[in-house]
Amino acid sequence: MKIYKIEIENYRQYRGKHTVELSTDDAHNLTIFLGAMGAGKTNLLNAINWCLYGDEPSLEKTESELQQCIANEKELEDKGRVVVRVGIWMGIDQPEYFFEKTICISGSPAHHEEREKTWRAAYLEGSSWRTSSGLDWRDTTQFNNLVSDILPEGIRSFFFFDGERLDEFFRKGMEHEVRDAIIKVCQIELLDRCTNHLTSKSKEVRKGIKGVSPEIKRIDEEIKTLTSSKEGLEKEIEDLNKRITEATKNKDDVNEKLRKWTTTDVQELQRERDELEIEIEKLNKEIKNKEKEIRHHFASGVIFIFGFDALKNTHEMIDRRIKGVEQPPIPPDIKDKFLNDLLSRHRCICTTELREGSPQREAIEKLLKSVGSLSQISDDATEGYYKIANILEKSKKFKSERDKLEKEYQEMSKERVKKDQRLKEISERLKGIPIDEIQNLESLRDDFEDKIRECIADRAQKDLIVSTIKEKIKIKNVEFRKEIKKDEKQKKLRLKLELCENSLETLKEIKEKVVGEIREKVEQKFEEYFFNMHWKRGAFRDVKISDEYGTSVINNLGSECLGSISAGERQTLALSFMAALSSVSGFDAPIIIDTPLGRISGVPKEKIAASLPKYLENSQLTFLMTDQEFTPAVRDNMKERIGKEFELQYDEEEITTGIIEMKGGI
Amino acid sequence: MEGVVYMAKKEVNPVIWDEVEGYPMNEDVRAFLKELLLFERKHISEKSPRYSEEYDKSIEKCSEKMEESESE
Repeated sequence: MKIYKIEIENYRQYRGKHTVELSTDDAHNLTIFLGAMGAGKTNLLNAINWCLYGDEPSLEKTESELQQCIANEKELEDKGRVVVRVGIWMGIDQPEYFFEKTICISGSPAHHEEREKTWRAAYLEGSSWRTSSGLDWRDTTQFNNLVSDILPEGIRSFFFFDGERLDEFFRKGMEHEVRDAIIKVCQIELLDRCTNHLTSKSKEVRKGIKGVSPEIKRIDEEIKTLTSSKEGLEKEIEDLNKRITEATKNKDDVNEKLRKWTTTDVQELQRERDELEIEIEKLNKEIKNKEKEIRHHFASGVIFIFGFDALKNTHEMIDRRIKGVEQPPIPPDIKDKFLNDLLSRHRCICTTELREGSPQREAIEKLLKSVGSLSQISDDATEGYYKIANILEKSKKFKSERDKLEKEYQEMSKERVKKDQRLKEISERLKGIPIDEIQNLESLRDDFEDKIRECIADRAQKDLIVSTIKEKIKIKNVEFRKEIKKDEKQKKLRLKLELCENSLETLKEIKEKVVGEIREKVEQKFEEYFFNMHWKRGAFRDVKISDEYGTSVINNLGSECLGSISAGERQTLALSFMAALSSVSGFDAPIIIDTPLGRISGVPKEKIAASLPKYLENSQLTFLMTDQEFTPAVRDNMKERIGKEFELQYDEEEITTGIIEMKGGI
Repeated sequence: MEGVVYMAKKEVNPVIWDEVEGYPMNEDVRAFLKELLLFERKHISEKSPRYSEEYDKSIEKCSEKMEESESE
């Protein structure tokens, strides 16, 4: 999906009518708008947002800007009445959608009044346009639905964004942002919405089942009671999650204040605490994994733990009997086939003749009789002897492995205690600084930490109860359907209920698979893009998105370093994430980035310039750049992808920006 | 503006759509789930879409098919 044409009329610094046709060539998917600060780059993005979504999210919300008139001030001053209009044509292979919003403003820039607000939306069906329009912005449902087909409002910030603000995305405590982005942009919320709506329908269907047997009524009541306790607990968990997020944010605000404190001792202590917290988080994960490893090791070695003494005694006993130091001995390992052979050949291996009736022959015949049952015992004893020896050998290895694992676990635990202790010392030292504000901040921080801890413990307990209740409900539902199947009158309702419940179960399973798959795909692309765009080769080892959607960047020493990377690196990380997300999103929408390379300098800038359009090659890209960003070297690296270049020329006297296409390049 | 529905189908994330296509389940249920997903995709920008009537229609249609199969 591409933007073919934008028409802007009297919107902010765009006085009069301006028409821009973006590059729609797949091989040259990049359009550049170059402009100095204040020339109108951000307002071009605002105009698009204003037309499609009715707001201007990139506008700094300062009081003066909020009071500012959306109409071009010079035009309003001259004419006293101005129609502001933005129209956008979009489509895949040709313009197939048209969106337009207008507003009439009268008065002066200082005292203005908004009058008629109109909208128009159209789409191409076959060769004719189907149009809807309205004279009021209060009901723009049809307009919004058509926009939503292309890019729903909730996710547009992942396609139209300010590059300089991107780095906030990967600050500590913003895990929920990453999670929300994946859920929204990859449409996982569609599955959630289906689930919620179907659950309500399932309840309605169940209510509709009347005149049933007392047994069905009883089961139904039980399900209702269980469901209502589950829902109550889920609400409490949701509330706890909100409280955890709020307390984490508050704690991070305190950290930020300490990080920026005027004296270096406070700054350093806070920095040390930041690093310690990251290390503890990593250590906690490692401890958890080690616990799992130990549990697994124990489970695989149950035989060694409980059977060791018995096996050892058996082995020693067989050994003594083989050696003949204990009675009865292990029967000789003589096979009956061997004795039968000797008897049939009438000669022993020592060449003695075994004549019929001779004492030698009788001796062998006697041996043959006893060997019939004993040779098997001898075989078993020998086989068992070696098998047990093998197990005992393995059990020694099991023990040494167990000792090794336990030692590692102990060391990790000691390390954690040491780090926890250091955290306490840092807190005590901060509290000991004779400045009231620091002491207050530190005690506030303690309160937030206590709150987080309490909520997490409470949530874990409730989670456990909810999963037990869910299991019970599942069993009761099976009972319910089994009972209702007996009643032919309820067949229709029963089938509806079965449909809802089976679909809910399937949706749940599909969601589990899809969430994992999407997370893996985003992570894979994220890592690939980041490593290709990043300029310090070898500085980082890994970029990961955990199952809980936490992001971690591992440096070459193996330590987590997300909290300590530079703003430029964070921006690169965020650009890589956005590129990864859009490639897995399922939305075919154009991408517009305001100041994409704003915080990145020198060589890194050129590297990103070369890579980013390549990674987003399947999307139409528009970069709004300053001349500090769009250097000759950057242009050179992007030139293969550039389809069109425009310069925004601002005339201060006329308070207007002209959009000039630079055919031969800027 | 009824015709906009045709756009929605290709806009459901292929990862989700393919999973629904390939997941082992009754074909009637598959068609039912696809209808629901398309409905939700169409109304993704609305916080509380009026889903009830649409869901009722889909449930009715699919359960009738199930009833026919059960009678056979």
